[in-house]
Amino acid sequence: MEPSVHILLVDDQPRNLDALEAILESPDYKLVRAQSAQEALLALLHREYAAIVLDIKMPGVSGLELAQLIKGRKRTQHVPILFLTAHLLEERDVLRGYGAGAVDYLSKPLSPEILRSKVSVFVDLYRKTRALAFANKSLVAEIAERQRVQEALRVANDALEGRVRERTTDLMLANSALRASEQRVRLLLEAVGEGICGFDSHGRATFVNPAAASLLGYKPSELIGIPLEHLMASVDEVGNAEELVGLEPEVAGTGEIPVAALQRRSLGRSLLRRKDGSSIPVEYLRTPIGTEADSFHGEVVVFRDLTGTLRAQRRLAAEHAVARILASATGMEAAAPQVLTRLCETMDAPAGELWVIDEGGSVLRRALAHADPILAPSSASLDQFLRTGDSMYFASGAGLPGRIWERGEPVVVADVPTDGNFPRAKLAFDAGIRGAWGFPIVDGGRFEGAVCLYSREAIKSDEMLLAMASSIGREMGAFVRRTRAESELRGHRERLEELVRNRTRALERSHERLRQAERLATIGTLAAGLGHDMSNLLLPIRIRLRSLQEAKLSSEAAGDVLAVREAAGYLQRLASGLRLLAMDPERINERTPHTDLAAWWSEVEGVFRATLPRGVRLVGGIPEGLPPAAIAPSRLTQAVFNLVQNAGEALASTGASRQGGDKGTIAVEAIADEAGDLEGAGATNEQFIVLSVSDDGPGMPQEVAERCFEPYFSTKVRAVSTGMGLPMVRAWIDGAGGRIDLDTKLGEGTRFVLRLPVGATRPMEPGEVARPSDSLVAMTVEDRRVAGFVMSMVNATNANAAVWCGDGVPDAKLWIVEGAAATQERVAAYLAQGTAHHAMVLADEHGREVADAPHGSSRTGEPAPLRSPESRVRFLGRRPSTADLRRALVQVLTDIKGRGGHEVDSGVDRRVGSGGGMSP
Amino acid sequence: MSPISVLLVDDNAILAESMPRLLAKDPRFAWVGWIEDTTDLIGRIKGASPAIVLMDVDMPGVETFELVRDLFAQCPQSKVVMLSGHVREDYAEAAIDAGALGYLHKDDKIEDLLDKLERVHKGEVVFSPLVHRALWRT
Repeated sequence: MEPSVHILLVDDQPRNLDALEAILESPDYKLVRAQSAQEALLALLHREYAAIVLDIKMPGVSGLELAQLIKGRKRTQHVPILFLTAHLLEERDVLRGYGAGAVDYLSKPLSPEILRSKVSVFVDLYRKTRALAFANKSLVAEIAERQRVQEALRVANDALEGRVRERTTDLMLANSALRASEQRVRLLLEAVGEGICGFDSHGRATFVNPAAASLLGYKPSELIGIPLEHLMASVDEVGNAEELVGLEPEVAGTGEIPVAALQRRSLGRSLLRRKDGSSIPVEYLRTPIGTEADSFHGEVVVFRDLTGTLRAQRRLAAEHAVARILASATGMEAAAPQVLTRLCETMDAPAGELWVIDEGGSVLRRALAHADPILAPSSASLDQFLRTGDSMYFASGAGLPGRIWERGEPVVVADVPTDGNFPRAKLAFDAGIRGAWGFPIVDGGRFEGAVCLYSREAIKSDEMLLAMASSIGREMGAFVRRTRAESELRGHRERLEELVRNRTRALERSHERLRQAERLATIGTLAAGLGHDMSNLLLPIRIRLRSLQEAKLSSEAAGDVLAVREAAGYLQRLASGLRLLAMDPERINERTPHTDLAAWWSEVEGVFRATLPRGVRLVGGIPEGLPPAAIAPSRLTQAVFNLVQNAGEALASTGASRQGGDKGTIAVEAIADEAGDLEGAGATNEQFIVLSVSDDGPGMPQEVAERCFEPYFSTKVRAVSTGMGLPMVRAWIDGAGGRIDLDTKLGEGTRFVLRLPVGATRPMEPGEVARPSDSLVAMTVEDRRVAGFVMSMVNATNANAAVWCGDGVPDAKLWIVEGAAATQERVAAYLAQGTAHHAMVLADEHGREVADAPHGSSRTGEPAPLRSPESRVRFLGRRPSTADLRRALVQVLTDIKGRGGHEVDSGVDRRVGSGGGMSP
Repeated sequence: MSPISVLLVDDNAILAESMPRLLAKDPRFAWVGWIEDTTDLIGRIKGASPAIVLMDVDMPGVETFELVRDLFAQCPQSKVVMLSGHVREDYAEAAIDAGALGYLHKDDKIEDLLDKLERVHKGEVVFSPLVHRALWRT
């Protein structure tokens, strides 16, 4: 049955729709009504229509507009439209514009026949179109099926072809692999270092590889057919691999090989006989060929040359032996013979030599030669060869040792007789030596020597040999360095110990000196304290004695007082002596030191005597009137105190030999010596004071006398020594410009002689001022302290000082002027005076003006500032410290004295030449 | 002329007790007394107002020259003279700088000591011969 066909009827008038339905009523159609354009469009959405009957005239959207909408949609554009018009010509024209077939029209009133006919045509067309479309769709499906089948066929075909190709490739690869495998096996057999031979069941060679032929010295073809036993020279040993358990050792030359044995693989070492008759050591593996336990088709023998391995083992043993020797040796001299012996043994060398650099460093000389007793049974020719080397020297590059030296690496002389640079070639040849080689003993880059070894055969150099030789050489070099370092270290240590010993000795000496200095200081402190305390007590004693003296006393009491006075007097001298001994050496800085010896002796005698051991007498022989000695009293006290102390000890130590507790006498004497002969003292007629300290004690041995002035030399047990040391005494006397000499004789006594220069006289001595009416110093100062101090200082010289207040210039050698009085004109006028020497200006700012102003008083006529090197003016400031004032005063007055008392001094040159220390 | 009054500052009792024997008998001098410790020394000296103060150099715990400086400033009518057991020119200089008018030594001859005290009273500066020697030589 054909599917039903839908026709859409569109009219706004239901009556018209009814009419249309009535006209078109047919079982073949299904009529769908639409009363508006909207309804029509809605209906068109729902299904497909064979035709649309459309009334043109409708309210709202007209039929024409609806038609345009329908035609504008893709889905409905082909649906034929039958317009119903109302005779309107223009409408028809418009409708024509749609094109034939697309639309048609009918004029009202409608002819039912025509309407039915037209609709029928549309329906028929629709039906035919539908049928055609269906037929077309089937045809397309059939074509697609055909194409699908064709594609499947093509794929199947392709797969088949692919498999065919794969198979072909596999086949080709297999073929190629087979060829490659064959090739590899062939190459392997040809390339391996091991010899490989196949033997048949009769033990005859059926194939050999090139290595086997080469190792045995045959051409491969020559070996085919040769029996195995012919090749076997001997069996060294049988390996103990597990395959070999139960295997009987084979014996060369037994011919038949037991089947049972051959059925297993066997491993062993043997000597194989080469074509030329020589033999090579090999390690072999025999593998039987057979399928069953009792079938034997032959065997394959693989063998490896052991020559290199054995050689390496021996070289390793040599290295090891050398290392062991060096490890336990103390020096190269001890180690060298052992090293050479072991090297000869392990290297099959009948002889070896050690060459070292000669002391000069320019040639090698032989230090050692060794002939191996087994390898070189004593032969005259070898002896001759080695003996000759004893007197040979090689420079760098000459002979074997020289070449080793030059290159710094091992050198091999393959064939001695043909080597051009081998001086003993003839002797070597006679001794049966063919090859020679050697290596340097080097430590880092430093060449120490060379070891040379000789062999009966020509030597082929190989890297292993060179490496081994280098290694041994380096080891020996390191050993040399080590032993040398150890030796140096020993030397260093010994030097260090010596240094420590020396330092210790020096320290001990220094300590001793310090101890002596400390003792001196201690004695000084002690003496100072004691002297001070004695003075503190002696003053009241003296006061009381004076008081007593004035009282009326009985003669007995007066005698007692006299005795006490004497004792006190002695104590007073003792106190003075102690003070001299106590004077701090650091404070001894007298500018012109001098000592009146008689006065000095009276002060120190008591102290010296008091400190001597019991039984030792001290006598003095120092006359009055000696010129003063140029040494500070305290220094002289300390020096003589030392000498007296030493003498006292010397006497006390031997005093037992004398009678009645008398231990001996020390004498301190002094004379003036006109004929002084001090070296370097200049004029020989210079006067000296010779002061001696002598004793009648045991005297000194010669060696002690010679060394007793050396620092730190002492004959005494130090704890017992109370002397300060003769070196210090000598230093003090030398320091004073004098010298000390010793005269001693064993059993007779000792005498120290101090030769002291005569000191400068005091700056001012009593009565030195020639004209007492003149003042030495005139002052224009108001400062009571300054005036009093200057007066006191000047008065102490018995000269006069005066405070002067006049206007003009004072008549004195030194004018001290203060403040306003110190005008430049007045100072200049004073200095212009013939008798004046110096001016001392006590002023501050004002004084500076005075100092810097020029004055014309100089005899040269040139004005010069007062503050100049040749000026005699000294500036001290307004209130100088007593210390500054004193120093200036002492310096100026000493200078004045140095010019010769009151002598008129008017010359500038003389002033300058007088050397008075002028400072601004 | 009235006698010169003298006061002693010293911790040495034996000396102090002997001094009156020396000074009390001499018509030139008058013994004022002895001060052993220096507590309120200035006040006590002011009170006594001696012409001369004889002073020991090293008394325990006393900065002697500072004391002399104070005395010089506060008791200008009393003249200070050091009486020492030390022969040290630096002490003598320090004493003068501080205002003392002399530095005598206990080892000095007694007559010399008395003579120097007289001279100090006149305004002179005096030294022990031992000290003079040190002053001249160093």
